[in-house]
Amino acid sequence: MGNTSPFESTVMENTLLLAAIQGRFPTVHEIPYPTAHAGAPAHEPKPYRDSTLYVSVPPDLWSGVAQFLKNEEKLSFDFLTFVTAVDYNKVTAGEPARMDMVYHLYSLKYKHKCVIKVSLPRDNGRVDSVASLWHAADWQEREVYDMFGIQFRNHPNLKRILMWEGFPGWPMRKDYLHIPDRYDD
Amino acid sequence: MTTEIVRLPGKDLSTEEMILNLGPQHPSTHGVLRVILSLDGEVITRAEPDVGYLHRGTEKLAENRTYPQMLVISDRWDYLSAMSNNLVWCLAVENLMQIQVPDRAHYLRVIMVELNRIASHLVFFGTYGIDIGAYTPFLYAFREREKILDLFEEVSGARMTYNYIRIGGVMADLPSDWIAKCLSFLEWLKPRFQEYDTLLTENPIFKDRTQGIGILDKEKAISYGITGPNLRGSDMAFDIRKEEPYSCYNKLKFNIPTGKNGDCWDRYWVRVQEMKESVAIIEQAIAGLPQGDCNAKVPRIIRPPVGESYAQIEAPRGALGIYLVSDGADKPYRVHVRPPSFINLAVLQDILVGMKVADVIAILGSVDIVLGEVDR
Amino acid sequence: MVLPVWTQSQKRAFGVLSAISIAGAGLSLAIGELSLRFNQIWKFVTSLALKIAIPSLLVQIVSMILQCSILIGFISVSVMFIVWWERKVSAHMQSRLGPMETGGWHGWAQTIADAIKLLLKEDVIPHEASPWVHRLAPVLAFVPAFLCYAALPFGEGLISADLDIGILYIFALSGISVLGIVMAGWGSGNKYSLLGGLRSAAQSVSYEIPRVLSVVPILMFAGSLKLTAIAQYQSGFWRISGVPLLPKWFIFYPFIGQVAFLIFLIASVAETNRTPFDIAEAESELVAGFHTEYSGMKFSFFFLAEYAYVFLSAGITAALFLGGGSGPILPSWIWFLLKSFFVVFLFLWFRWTFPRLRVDRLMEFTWKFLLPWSFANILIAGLVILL
Repeated sequence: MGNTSPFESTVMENTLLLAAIQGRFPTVHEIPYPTAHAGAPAHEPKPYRDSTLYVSVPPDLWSGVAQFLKNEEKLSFDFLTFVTAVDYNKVTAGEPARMDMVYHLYSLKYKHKCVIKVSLPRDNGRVDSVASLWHAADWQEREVYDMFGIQFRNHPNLKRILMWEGFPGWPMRKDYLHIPDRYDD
Repeated sequence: MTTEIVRLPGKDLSTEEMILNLGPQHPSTHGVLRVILSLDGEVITRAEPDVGYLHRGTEKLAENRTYPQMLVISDRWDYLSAMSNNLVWCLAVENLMQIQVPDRAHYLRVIMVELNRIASHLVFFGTYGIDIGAYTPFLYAFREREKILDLFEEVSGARMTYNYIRIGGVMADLPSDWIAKCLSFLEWLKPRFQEYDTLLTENPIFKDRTQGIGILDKEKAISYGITGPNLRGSDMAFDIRKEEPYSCYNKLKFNIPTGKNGDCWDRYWVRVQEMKESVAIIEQAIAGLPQGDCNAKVPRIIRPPVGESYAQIEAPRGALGIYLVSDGADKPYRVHVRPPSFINLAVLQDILVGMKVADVIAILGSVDIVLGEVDR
Repeated sequence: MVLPVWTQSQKRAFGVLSAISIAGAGLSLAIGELSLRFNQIWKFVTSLALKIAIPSLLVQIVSMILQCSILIGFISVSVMFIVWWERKVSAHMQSRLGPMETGGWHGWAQTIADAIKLLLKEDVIPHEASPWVHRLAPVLAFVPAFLCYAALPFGEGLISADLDIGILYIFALSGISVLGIVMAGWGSGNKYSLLGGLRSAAQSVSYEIPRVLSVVPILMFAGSLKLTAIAQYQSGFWRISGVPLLPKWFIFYPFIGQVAFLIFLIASVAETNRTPFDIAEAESELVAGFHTEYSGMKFSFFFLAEYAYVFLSAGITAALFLGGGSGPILPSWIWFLLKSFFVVFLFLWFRWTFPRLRVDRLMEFTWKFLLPWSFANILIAGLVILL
């Protein structure tokens, strides 16, 4: 250990991190801190998000960005904390219906972290697998596939992991309808 | 210590691989894990863990439960350290709601979580002995664990699913004589570690079975996202209690034991050392336990604001995290559990190849999984 | 206090239990009493039979049946005792109590109850098994163990067949049992059983060699393969100026005796498939190894065979190394049993304190360590005899 982050304080760190990524991939942008929507009553609590950097990456760039994040010396995101997906099926004015892949990255070397979100269409979402970069993604991407039906390109062994083969539907999607079976009695 | 498979030339010696289904009903897969092994004699040529037999759809359930209701379900993930599960769920919700928990609650949480860590590692110690073929350590470990469970029963009324750590604090303050009981238990526990060392740690057969077996080097461990004692066994001092201190860990002094080679024995040794560190942590926490309230003011209906948060703690099996997305309702919009056991288990398919059937059990035991958490 | 109301079946079970235990205890007592006057009684009975003109062949057959039933009785009773004892010993090693209820006093009837339960259990033959191999295997595992007891000297004059090649006979027959285990492994149609059977075959064949070789120095000193002669050879004391210091047991022979004893003991533990050498039935790896698919009576036969071998090994150890039935005051059969059960205790002690060796390390241990040492021991013994 002993390595200190090349970025100073947390706030600076986030901007520098973002600058480092955007220097290579200009279309990548930070997801703004959530704000209360216009008509919200005053007593309602203010929206909250962790102080971590949240970055949105277009799906077609993801594989390149992932390689950059892992291999670039001053970033060295060597630890993939977790991979998951969130299904946003509610269509509001600001937010279109979408499926977000969420990658939580951490650098054991510099101890900085960032969250990558890759927005996919809700139907037939496809994204590049990062299992070859971080082995941790292998099973977790399988879990995401199992639960949300998102396809991962170049995944070594993409099949259901928690549910059984032939399970109908993708259980974690918001529009999943349970079909009664023999376990329901 | 992989074994090379020597093939003799000649037509008559055609051999076939045998597929062995280790589990889901097997005494030492620690639950309902199934590992599909391809065997050449006793040597493994391919291993594929198959999980999901205990899948209860926790994350889906969470979307239909209120935040306090979900606490009950969190007990059932890693049922050997339910306090940690309670804690991480509460931390995630408290983050989102920006609740300041009083100091006393922080200390109580640390005491409980560390006691639970000892109990959990004791189960590991005992079952690992059984995996290797020594039956006696198991009973010793459970004798100690029983006393911890008694302590838990006194504070929470339960022995496995505590539900003690609540959003905004803890369920209730300690019973009047609990601290004395806890201290006398710790005094009683300390000499036991020497017993364990003579019985198992330094046993030549045990060392022979575990040293140099299932070596997990640092790079591979990091790449697989391994955390907890498994990562520390591979000479990587990564501990969330030190990296991103939660509760009151920044006020407590403790060491992070690390192994050298990343073999089964190192992973085992790290856990035994961690029990000793936990004893020290509990003693410090009891000594520094502040007076005061042990619950923050929490609204009657918990309705966090829109937003998302990720909270993680150092559970006995590694980094346990909760990724929580809220849409402002009284039920979470999306909950994702980062289960350390699940992620640690993925490495099996890599390190089992070339090992013997007996080593499979030794390695599987040393990774220390809880199927309740793997499958959720 | 409310007395428990006994159901009809409980009463019946209690009746059966007590009948069996009284019979067992009576049998053990009878063996003891008979042992002193065994030969006289035997001669008297034979002459009586001849007097009333019963053909001698019939007398022999009847006597054989008698001896067999005595031996079977002894084996069952001793196995039941050892199982109960093992449970108590292991329990106390593990800071618990073990069986405490059945039979009242420290759960003494627990094994009897278990045995009855085993007899009444359903006998399952798996669909995949080859039925005849599956059926024959437990018999083949148990019968050699039983036959071996014929040549085991339980005390002076208490031997069913005092063969000139007693020790060779025992080693040869106990080698057959592995066939039963291999058949059980093969015939069960289960992969765990198969692995267990194969492991057991490799293990037994390997450990048989140092086990036999470790005994060779004794045979060289005693100059006989007869177990009674070997036991006889060990009577008497080493004296320093007339004061008896140590009995002339083979284990007290400097160096050679201890090396031989250790090798023999280790190899015996391995032969009986007990921890730390229980790789054939390694519970945590192979579920139950070769007897995974066995239940009820067949399983109990394997169980019986294992414990019969444990006592047999202990008995041979007592006869070869601990002077057999020699000892002061008490009758010889009591001494023999005491020594044997001491060795049995060693077996139990090993089992409940050691982890299990891995299969390849186990092989390395016998071929690279035990075997060279047993050869060296023979050489040293030869040198000593020459000098």
